[in-house]
Parts: sequence; structure tokens; C-alpha cells
Amino acid sequence: MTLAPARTQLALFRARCEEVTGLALDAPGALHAFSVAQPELFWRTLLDWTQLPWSGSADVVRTSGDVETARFFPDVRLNYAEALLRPLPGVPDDARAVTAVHAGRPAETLTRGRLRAEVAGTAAALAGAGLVAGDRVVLVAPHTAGTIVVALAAAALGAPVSTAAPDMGAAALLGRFEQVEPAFLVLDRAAMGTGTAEALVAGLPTARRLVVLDDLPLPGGPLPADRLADLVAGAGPAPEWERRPFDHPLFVMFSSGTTGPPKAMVHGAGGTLLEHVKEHRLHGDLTPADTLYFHTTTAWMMWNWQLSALAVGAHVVTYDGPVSGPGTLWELVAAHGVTVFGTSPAYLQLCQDAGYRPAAEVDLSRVRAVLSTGAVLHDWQFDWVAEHVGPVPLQSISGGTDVIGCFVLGTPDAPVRRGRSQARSLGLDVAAVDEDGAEVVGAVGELVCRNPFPSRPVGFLRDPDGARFHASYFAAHPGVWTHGDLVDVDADGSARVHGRSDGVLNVDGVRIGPSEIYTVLRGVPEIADVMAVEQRDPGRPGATRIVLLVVLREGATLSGGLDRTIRRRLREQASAAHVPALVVAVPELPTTHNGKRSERAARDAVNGDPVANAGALRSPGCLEAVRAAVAAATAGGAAAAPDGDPLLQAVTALWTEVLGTGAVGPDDDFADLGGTSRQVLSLLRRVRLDLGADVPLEVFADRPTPRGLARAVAAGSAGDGGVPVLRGGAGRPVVLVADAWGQLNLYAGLVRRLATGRPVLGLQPALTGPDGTHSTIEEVAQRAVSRLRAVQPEGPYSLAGYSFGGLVATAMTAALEAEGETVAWLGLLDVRPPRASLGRRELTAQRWWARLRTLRSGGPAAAVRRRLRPSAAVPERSPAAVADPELAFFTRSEAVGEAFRPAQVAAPVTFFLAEGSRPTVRGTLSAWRRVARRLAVVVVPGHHGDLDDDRVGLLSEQHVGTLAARFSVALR
Amino acid sequence: MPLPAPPSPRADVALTLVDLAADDDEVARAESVLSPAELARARRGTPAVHRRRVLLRAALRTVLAAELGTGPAEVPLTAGALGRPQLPAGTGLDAGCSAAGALGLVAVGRGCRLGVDVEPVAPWTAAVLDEGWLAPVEQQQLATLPARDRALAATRAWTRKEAVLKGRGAGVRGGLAATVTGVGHAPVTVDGWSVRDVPVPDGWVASLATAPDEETPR
Repeated sequence: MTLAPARTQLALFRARCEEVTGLALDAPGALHAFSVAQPELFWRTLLDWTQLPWSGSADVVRTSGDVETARFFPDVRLNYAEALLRPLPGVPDDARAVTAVHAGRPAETLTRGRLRAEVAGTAAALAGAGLVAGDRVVLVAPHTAGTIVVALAAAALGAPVSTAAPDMGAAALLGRFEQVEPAFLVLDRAAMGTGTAEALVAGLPTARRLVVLDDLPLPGGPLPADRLADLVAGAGPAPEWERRPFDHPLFVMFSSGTTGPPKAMVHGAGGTLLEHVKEHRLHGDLTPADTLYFHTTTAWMMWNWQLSALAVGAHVVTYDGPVSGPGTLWELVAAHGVTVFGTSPAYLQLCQDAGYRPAAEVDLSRVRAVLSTGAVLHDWQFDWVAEHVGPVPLQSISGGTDVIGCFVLGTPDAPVRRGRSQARSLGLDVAAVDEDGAEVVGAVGELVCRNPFPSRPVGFLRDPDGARFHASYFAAHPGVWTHGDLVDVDADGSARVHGRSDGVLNVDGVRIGPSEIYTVLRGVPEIADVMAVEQRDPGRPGATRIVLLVVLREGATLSGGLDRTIRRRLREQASAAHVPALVVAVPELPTTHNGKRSERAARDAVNGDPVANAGALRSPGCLEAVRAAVAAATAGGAAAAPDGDPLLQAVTALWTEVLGTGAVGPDDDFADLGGTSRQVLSLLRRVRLDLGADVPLEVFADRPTPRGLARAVAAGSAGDGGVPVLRGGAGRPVVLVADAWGQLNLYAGLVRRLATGRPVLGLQPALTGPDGTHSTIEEVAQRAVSRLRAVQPEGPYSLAGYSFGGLVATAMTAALEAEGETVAWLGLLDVRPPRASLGRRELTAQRWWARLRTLRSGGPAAAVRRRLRPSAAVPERSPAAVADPELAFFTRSEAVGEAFRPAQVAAPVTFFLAEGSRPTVRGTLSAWRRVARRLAVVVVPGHHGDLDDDRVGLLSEQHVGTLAARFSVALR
Repeated sequence: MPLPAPPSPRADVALTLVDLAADDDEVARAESVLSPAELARARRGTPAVHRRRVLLRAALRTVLAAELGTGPAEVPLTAGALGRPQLPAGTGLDAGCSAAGALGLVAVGRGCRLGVDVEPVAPWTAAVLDEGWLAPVEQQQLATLPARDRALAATRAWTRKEAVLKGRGAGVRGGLAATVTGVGHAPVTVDGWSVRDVPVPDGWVASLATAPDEETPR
């Protein structure tokens, strides 16, 4: 059991600062305020307090107040490897330093003494092979102890290291490393793809030496090649680990650019070290008693970040195996006594979606904090961690490769506010600003840092005059670092990052520069132009996916073959993460008046959001085409999977999780993707749990593709008379009634977020009779009741529905009560009262045009909207004038709804009123009060939610969290 | 590159471990002995799957070629409807293969029918019990084992079942839960198939199922 020190390191440091300044710094935010108001005193006090080993003079703390050019501690000399490996007071040399965990073979542990000796031996070997200070080392190897040893050995010698994961494709690796111009290549070829090592050797001609970490045969060819083990065995005496200037290059890191190759940024030893030690000790309260596991690869800055925990004396765990299911990392955490566990929103969501309960499955008693980064962490994930991991802080931390650290993160002296990072990084003047650069508090703005900080990159490679560096961070707002993230910072200093503000894609925590995609696709003859944008994934709440917009050359069509070519190329030449979820042909890409491509406009269009900068576009009309094409492509999936488009997406999402690859096409064969028979069983179990369909192995084996599986699921779950299980659970079900389109998919976000252990069922009663004409609401309700009774024979029942579905749920309640049953609760999600139920005054309060939209929901609305509005005018149309079958269906549903006169119900009713609907329902809620004597009105953010007017609905990703929370409370 | 064969559990079955982490030259050489249909199937896979299929098939052909006294490309090897390797009855040979990660396993038997399967030892989670392929009695057996032994035992149960089902030519559709092999490591007989462990490196489990040729259970 880890005993926390009586006082946190932050408290001790605060006391030191109070001593130095004579100020009281115990008020909330006071320490951060001091750190940015008196930066020289802060950073100097920090350097002294950390007792990091250095020599020279720290009298000059920073050379100026200019973020872009200021240098820190120009007269301080230090060595990163020495700082990490030095003997620490109270930490014996036989204390554990690194434990390397592998899949399928035992873990190995290096003590601090052993690690120091191995680094010394490796440094001697590399020096013997000719590595000298300033030489750059490219290190492509998995996250293991051996990789740490090599990196620290290079750092000890003053040779900057650039790391990447061995499963990356040759093209992506070369796109990064050719800028590095490495002197040494250190490769672990065991996990590298065919030909990748050879491509690296051929493509990096500056390399003087190849060192391999694996046991594969040494390659021939002119480049001298050795096994590291052989070099170590024959090495001479260990060279001295010289202390070098504070800004001496330590790491070369890459950040995806929206244009051009990835930016190769050089991080200095001193800045990296000081920032990391500050974050670990002050914000994370990491001590030698801690065991840290942060799930990362060597291609991500979190690898460098967790490495520096050695400077604190903490025990670091590495893992180079696959995440084969929700249990993988929790089992690792339990098995190795991890006290601080770092992961991603994607993994936490995977666990939540799988119904995995970590604390119930494994022993997490040693875990004292969970960290998450890489993407936006959602409110409900805080609840999930509290419930299923334990009462430990969930710290959402966010920063970037560009600063090799965090802008916002945790702190031991403040509680965690759901959905938020607790604090801004000490010493960094982080703020949200509006377009004019003015600070905004409590609102979303561009994330900026307004003062110099030590972990700013020393510079970019291949950027001799600093022009690219300047353009990357200082062009938008002069004099401050503009990071490219959107953030809101509250008055209490807590913050929430809302994703990228530029075109960089962030999919499941992997940052992808669109240019990496463009480079790979440049050679495809059918493609004239291409743009990759991030879209909120309709099948996975909280997650995003890549949509690729393709402009085809004349005569070319987006056939299945071309679609496959695109995916395959990206998978092979970049990585699985670069493969888009959707490839859509569009006539034109949005560009600004001065010809700059606007990924932001495209992203808004693809998401169906209002386009913020439409006025700045050369041809704003192309956005409508983009929107239409994406809607059509999504609907195309629906046509293939007869029971609704989300099914194929949901199946594909499960498929990618089980296989651990993002590159799954609808017609890809399971075995062709490397899936094994055992994985088929995991997949089918997930299908059963998540989609409520029992697909027999034999049925799967007949068509082992996502499309085939989606069909099998459709056939297995929602057949006529069926009641799909939207979510598993125990106890009385919560029943959601389909909308005017007969769809349930609009509830997906709500269903996932509901805080209830009860199962959630979906009811999709037929809206038309055998002759094809629309049934009355009462008839629809009667069908729904008989279906429901087949699975839940007796009450009490809990029913809810949105809009039209709410009318059906109301009629069901009346019907069930007439049959003597109890309805325990009826939830109405922004259900406007039908005209037939309104009195004359209420009718006047209503306006017909507003109600034309009331029943619309779900994907098909966008298509309807296009047909409905050939011109900008919104005509009042009678149903008879409409020829389109979809729209006719909808308008008839609407007419049926309007004719409905709800009977009185005894059940308690909660009416979730969308904030945006307030003006429309004003004066008509009295109609609902006549129906329900026990009516509680709960206002929730958002509009009614038709896509028609581009306003964000209460069931949308943005607002559904609040709705789910209030819905969950009402259910209790 | 075929590795030295481990001790064969039966005199009439030759088992060969295949290193699937061979270099590109090896893959190119291996491709040269494959039939067009085998090449096409291999190329449908991702790069890793392609590599695995090429190396495994070439290794199988190499072993069969030695047995038949012909060249690897000339071995009259075909695939059954479900992908099971097939040889003309006149050869008196039966073959099977399996791969897991970097390890491949090829089995060639004379005068018998056979099936093999190799798997990496998958981490144990309670979810395995919910996947529907373990018979109730096997689930009970697993539950009585210490937690640390379950991963190996469950994986062995899988390879045993799959070896039998592959021997029958049915693959996993043949009824995993209905093929009760138990979770122990001692040789067993299941529906006329003799099932035993194949020695493989730590971290993997492999099983071989054989049945006399004349009365092959179906």
C-alpha cells in the first residue's frame, strides 16, 4: 500500500514560494497567479527546489519576455540522463526503475542501479561505434525497457533522439525522419512491416551506422550494421556523461501539419526536464513510492513524458503488447501495482461500452489517480470512472508534442470538476482568447500561452530562418503562442479542451496531419484533389472519424475498387489510423477567397454544423454539395443494411476494436484482415452485448464481412415484432419509442449515457397498416403495447419518446392504464402538443411553420430538407402537394400526430423541454397539464433538434449529456 | 524458414515449426512455389496476413515435397471448400497448418487424418466463459483451476477443439462447445480423434488431432 506523504509536494513547494516572496499563496489560484506574474522568481525557485543536478549559473532565468525567442537558463548546464538516473535520497539502487510488460511472456524489471549500468554500457557501445554529441539518432522500437535504455544512452552522450513505433508504415516514417538527417539508425525490426527497415536505410542516406535490437539476420549492403548486444559486449570504458547547455537538443518530435510534411521540432534537455519534473511532482504529486503506467507508443510525446518520471524516482511500467479487450490495461495495472494510470478517452469509452467494470474484475486498490489525454474526455466518463474504477481523481490532461508537456492538467489541491481539467500548468499563462486576441473566461476560445515557457521547442529542423516556426504558433495572435486547440477556462482556473481549431485530425487520440494522407494519395490517377476532415462518429458517441472528400478527375467514378485502393494505400503507406471511415466524391472543395483550402468549413459541413466562415469562401455553394454527398453516402450504408445505417457503423466499430485496426471496409474479409477464429468469438460476444443480436458462428462464417454481419444482426434482432435491446441491464426495462421515421438511432447517444443499471429497449411499431395507409396514434400505440407485453408482460412500465415517439408513448400509457396496468413513469422529450388537443388560445399561440419541423429527426431529415427547399423560401406546403415518398411518409406521420387527442394519464410525467422550444410552446403547456396531472417540466439545453434549421438539438452530441443526466435522475 | 522439428508425438505425423518473421527475400522465394490460387488468396490479406499465408503455405509445400520426392511447386495440394488442405487419395498423405503471430505449424501425416492448431496464450478474462465455445464441464474445470493457470488451460482447450474440427474439415463451425476436450494437458480421445499437445515455444499452445484414415469420424 502506498502511503501518501502527509503534505503534497505542491504544498511544500507553495511554502517555499511563500518563504521566497513573503506572499500568502494559499488562496485558490494564487500560486498560478504568482507563477505567471513573477516568472523569473517562479522558475528559479522551481529549479532550486527540484534539486536537479546542474552546474553553471542560474542567475539569468530567461533572456526576454518574448514567447517566440526567450531562452531559459542560458548559463545552466545539465545532462538529461544523469538527472533521470542519479542516485536519489531515500531511493535505493535496488528500487524498481522500469518494469517491461509483454503479451504472452513474463515481464522483466530493471532496478535503478541496473538501469544506470545498462545505460552506461549502451552509451559506451554507441560511443565506441562513433556516436558523438549532436549526432541525431532515429530509434524505431516498441515501448520496452530496451528502448528506454537506448534513448537514455544517446541522451547521456548528447545525441538527440527521435523515436517512432515499429508498426508505422515506411512512408510515414520517412516523412518524419528524412528531416532528421540521422547519423544512427537504431531499429527493432521484429515488429516492423515487410521492407520497412530496408526502406528506412535506403531513404535516410545520412545514416552512418545501423544498430539493430532484434535477432533477425543482419542485412547486407554498404551501411555498417551491428547488433546492439554485440556492440555492448565489445564496448570500451563508459564515457563521461557531460553536462551540456540547457537548450542542448534532447528529442526531435513531430507534430502533424495541415500543410507540408510533419513539423520536426527540437526539444531541449533543460526545458523538457524542468517541465516534466514540474508536472510530475507539483501537478501529479508523483513520488518514488509511485508506479506509473501511461499507455502510449514510442511515437507519441506521452512516451517522453512518462520517461521523465524516472527523475522523480518513480517506477515506470512499459507495455509492448496489444490491447485485446477492455480488460487488458486494467489487468496490467492490477498485476503490477500501478498507482498512477494514464490512458485515453477512447479506451475508457471502450471499457464503458463493453460493460466492463474494472474495479469488479481486478484489484485496483493501489491506483490513486487515473490520467487521460489525447482527446476530449466527456462528462459521463467521469461518472463511469467514479462508479467502476473507484474514488480516485480522473485527471484530464492536455497539451501537445509542440510543448512536450501540458497546458492544462491535474492538481492535488483542488477537487475534480466533472468534464474538466483541474488547473492550468504552473508558470504558463494559459488563456482562451476570442478572434481579436481578447481573453474570454467561461467561454470557448483559442488556447494561447502568453508568456515564455522553458519547454517551447528550441526550433524546427529545416527551418533556418524560423519562418515555419513563426507561422506555426505566432501568426494568428502576435506575441503569444497559439496552440491550435479550442479551450474554455473558468474563473476557478479549471479548463476544458474542445479539440483542434485547425485542420489536424484527432481520431481516437491519434493526431493525423491531413497532409500525410494527401501525400499517400497523390499518386492515385483518378483523384484530382482530396481533403480529409474529422466528423463526429454517429455510431460511437464521443468519438470521431475521418471523412475523406475526393474530387475525381473527369471520367472517373468512385467505384468500390477505387474506394478499396484508397484505403489500402493509406493502410500500407501511412497507418491504419489514416484510413477514413467514409470516402465521398464531391465536385469541389471549399477554398477561401485567396485560394486557401478551408478544412474548417468542410468539417462544419460534414458535421451538419453551421459553417462559421462561409463568408470567407470563394464558393460557399460547394458546402451544400459536401453536405449532400456525405448524407447520401451515409444513407447508402442504410440501403445496404436494411435496418438502418448506424448498424453497419456499429458493427464496423466493434470489428475494428476486436481486430485492433481502424482500416475496415464494409466488404473486408475477417481472415484477410488477420482476424483469428478466437477473435470471431469475441466479436460475436460483443455483437450480442452491444447490439442485442445472437449471430451464430455458422451464419457469420458464411459472410465474414462487416456488411454480412450487419445483415445477420438486422435479421437476428429487429425482425417483425421484435423489441431490440438498445442496452443490456437488469430489472424493469426502460422503453424508448421510435420517432416519426420509425427510427431508434436518434436515441443512441442518450442510451449510452443513461446512468441506470436497467435494460433499455426500443419499440418500433409499424406506422402504417397492411394497406399502406397511416394508422392513428392510438392504433400505433396498440401495436406497440402488444409488442411490449411480449417481452414485459406486466408493469410497472417506464416509457419515453421524443417528439412523435412521445405522442405514441402517451397513447401507450393511456392504453396500458385502461388495461389496469401501472405506468411508473412517462418521459416526453420535447413533445409538442398536437393541434387537436389545443384550445383556441393555445392554437393562436402556436405557429404552423414552426411545427412543420416538430416531427423531424434523424438522418433522413437532411435529404428531406434538400427536396423541401429548392429555393431559399420556406413554403407552407400541404401534404398532398408533395410527391416525394419519404417526405410524404413524414408529413402523413405528422398529420396523424396532429390529429391525436391524448387521453388523460395517471402516470407521473416528466416533460423535457428543449430550451430552444420555449418560445414555440409558450402558452401550450397547459394542454399537457390537462393530459398529465402529475407533470414535471425539466428544461434541457438545445433546440428541438431538426437538422432543418441548423440548430443543435437536445439529442445532439453537444447536449445529450445533460439530457441523459436529467433523464437518469427522473428514472430513479 | 522451417525450424528443426520438435519431437513428433506420433511416428507417422511430421510436425514442422515455421518462423513467420522471415525477411523479404524469404517471402519472395516462398511466393515462387505457390499456386496462382494460393497467391491470390494470400494477396487478399493485409501485408501481415499476406506474409503469413505465403510462408505457411510454402513451408507446407516444402515438407510435402520431401515426402513425395518432388519439387514444392509441383505438390498436388488443393484447398477444400472451407480451406482445408487436400491431397489426392493416392498419396496417402494428409496435411494441416496453423499460425499464430510469428509462429507457424505444419503437420503432414501418412495413413491418417489430422488437424492442428496453434494459438498464443490469450490473457484470461471472465468474458471467455461468455463466448459460448466452452462446454459447461470445461467451464467448471476452469473455475477450479488457480487463476494463473486459466489462460493456458483455456487456450489449450481452444486449440484442442479447433484441431479436431479442422481435422474433420468443418473448422470452427463444427460445434466448438459440443467438442468436449477438457482443459487438461494429458492426451485425450474425442469422438475417435486422438488429441495431444505439440511442444511449441513458451507463450504458445498447440494441439494435434489424428484419426485413422480408414474410419475417419465425421
